[in-house]
Amino acid sequence: MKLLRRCTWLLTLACACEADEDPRAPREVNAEVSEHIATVVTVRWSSDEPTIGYVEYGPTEAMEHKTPLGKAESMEHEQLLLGLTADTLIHYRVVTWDGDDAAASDVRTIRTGDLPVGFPRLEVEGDGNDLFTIVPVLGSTTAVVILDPDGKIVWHHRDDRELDFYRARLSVDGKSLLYNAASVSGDPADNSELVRVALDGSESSSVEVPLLAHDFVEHPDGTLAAIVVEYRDVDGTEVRGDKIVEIDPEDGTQTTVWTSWDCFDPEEWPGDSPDHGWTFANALDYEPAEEAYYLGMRNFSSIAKIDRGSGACEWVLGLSAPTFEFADGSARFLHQHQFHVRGDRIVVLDNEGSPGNESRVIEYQLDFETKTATEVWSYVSDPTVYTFVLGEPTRLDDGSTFVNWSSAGMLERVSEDGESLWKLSSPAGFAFGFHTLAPSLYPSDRGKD
Amino acid sequence: MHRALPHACLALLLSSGCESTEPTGSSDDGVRGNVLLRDEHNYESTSSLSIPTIETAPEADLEICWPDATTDIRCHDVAPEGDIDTVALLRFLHLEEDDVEVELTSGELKQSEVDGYLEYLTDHESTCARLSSMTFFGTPIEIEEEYVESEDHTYLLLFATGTTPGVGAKTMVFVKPTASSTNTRVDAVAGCGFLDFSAELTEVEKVRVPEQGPWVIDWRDVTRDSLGNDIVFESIDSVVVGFFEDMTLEEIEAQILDLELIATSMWEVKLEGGRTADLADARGRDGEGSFPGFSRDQEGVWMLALMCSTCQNPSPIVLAVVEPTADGS
Repeated sequence: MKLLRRCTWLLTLACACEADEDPRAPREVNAEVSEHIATVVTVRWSSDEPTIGYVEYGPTEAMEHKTPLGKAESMEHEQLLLGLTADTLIHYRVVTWDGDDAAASDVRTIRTGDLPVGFPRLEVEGDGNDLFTIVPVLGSTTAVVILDPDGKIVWHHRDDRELDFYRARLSVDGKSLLYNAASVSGDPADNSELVRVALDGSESSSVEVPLLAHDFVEHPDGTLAAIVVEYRDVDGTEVRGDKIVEIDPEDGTQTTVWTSWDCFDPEEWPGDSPDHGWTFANALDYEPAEEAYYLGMRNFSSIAKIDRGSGACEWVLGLSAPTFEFADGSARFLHQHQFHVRGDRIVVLDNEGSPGNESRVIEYQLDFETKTATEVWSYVSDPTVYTFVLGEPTRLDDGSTFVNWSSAGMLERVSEDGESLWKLSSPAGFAFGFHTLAPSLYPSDRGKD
Repeated sequence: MHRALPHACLALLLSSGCESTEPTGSSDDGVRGNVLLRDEHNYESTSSLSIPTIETAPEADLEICWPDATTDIRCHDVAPEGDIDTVALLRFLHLEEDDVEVELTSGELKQSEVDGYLEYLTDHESTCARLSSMTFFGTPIEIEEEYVESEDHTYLLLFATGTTPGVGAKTMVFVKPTASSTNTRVDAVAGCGFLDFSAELTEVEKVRVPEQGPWVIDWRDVTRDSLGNDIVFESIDSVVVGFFEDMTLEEIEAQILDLELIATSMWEVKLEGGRTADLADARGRDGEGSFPGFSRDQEGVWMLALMCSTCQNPSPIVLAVVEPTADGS
């Protein structure tokens, strides 16, 4: 009893000392590792006056990272610490912002958890990468991960459905991660979905989109657009084409904005692998400024630019239904997967165009006047790899190219000169889906993906 | 009791929010167990594979048969018709047969070195299949393009239990498309003799455990597997404790590939992740129920293993000899 009374007295003193503090100061600071994702920490704190603030954090006392500044003044605060590696002691402190750093908590520590069983150990050579990679893992483990620039897993999510995941991207609102759960080997799945998982893993939701194919995008307004397989009866024969379906972010309405039949005739352009379908679209990009989709079609070995409003194909580059000619001496691509259009340049992951089983990246300059595509750059990894499915190149602002060799279980950053700056390899049994890249996992710091 | 008073109040104060808690540099190593495994407790092993090669005609629709696959690479019996669930053809890029053997043994094979994978799921009625019946998850093989004579490629047929790619191989054979060959039949043979595996148990430091629980096994400090590779914590999916009645370490060493067969009793904790496991959660592999503790009237050897059921190399990642003592020290 005596102990309790003395403690009460000391607690009173403690409250008195708080009363003298800056009312903007962060109080009751606590941190918690997500029960769903071992590498995500939620920091919560309160203040006596409405304030905004942020959290400084990192694996060293220097706390190299910080969360974005809170947007609205509040007395109860919550921020996610993202980009953390597993089993790492993290230092952090809360800072209140009032035009300058007004007050700060003491520096505290918390240890992140262990990765779940089944995630691969990734080997990295070189340090020439500065981007986070958001990418599905396929094979022995089916999951979505975010890798930090050093190739370490800093976010992970598995679900038990018997489908594969082919594309992952951070949502435009910065609160969640999106991926497609589908099947592209053999027949497409009736139970395919676009899945949304909160970045702290606390909740997930999904939109049923039957017959999803490889790829989807999210528009700046949150509209989702996905490649969906479409079957039509053509003179008594079932033809497997594709369509682009948009999902309204408000009411979930699904609208077909384009189909293979809008631009192509199966009699004129039958594709080269009828057993696997007709167009067999396998890659989708969206350019908001042009309100245009770019669609890759495996069995056409072609890429089309599609006007979102009219569904018209503005141009086609490739072997089927082309509106561009390849310049003399320029290589053709075969059974390509992803690509990246930047202005009058396009880089293409050419899975099978090179002699032998050797995949490559080819860059073309597009002359829209003469409708000519001229090869201006190409890259083959050393030693060579064969990407028999998927694969994606991304041209970056500094002129380098991020190459995802997907089924070969390799990610690579390559300079303009063809020097391998950074290479990540997975153990046998683990491949990668399509990626997106981000300089930061916080939307305000993300800029152009 | 009186001396404890100021400390108790201090603790209350520290937890009540004057923002002076836990100064920088205070370390939190996470939850630790009371049975700490370290590298010096782990066995060392050496292993090598010698896989036979069969030359065949290139671009040929091979007949692949396995009625003679009556033992696996650990010399355990195999029922060819019932036990072989998957026949897989792996094509390796830039690896010679010797390289494949080394990388399979070490578990260091990279996905980029496997540039083709085809499989045939057996019907358990026949023990033969055609190469043309193999697919990549439904996509059929184009034999003329994918099974060709090549200096850059090495082909390996795996005969496995289960359907997880690369896991559960019972026997295997290299097939080599060779222009001068007219052979179109491949007969897999028994796997016993392919694997040369030895383990060193007698020199390792024993793990001392208290005779009375709790026994929370902690392997955070282990850095290497038995082959000397960096440990991959995410690959450890179970902890197994076993008792080998009336056996010596030398006898166990000599039968190292038969641990599951020669153990008197085994208990297992299945893991979702983490670096600790409480043996209170262990269950008997043969229905013995919960782990009863290390007290035994019989003489024998206790062993503790960290296992990976999906690794290319099925041997334990960590295997330690356990010495129960009164207080674990």
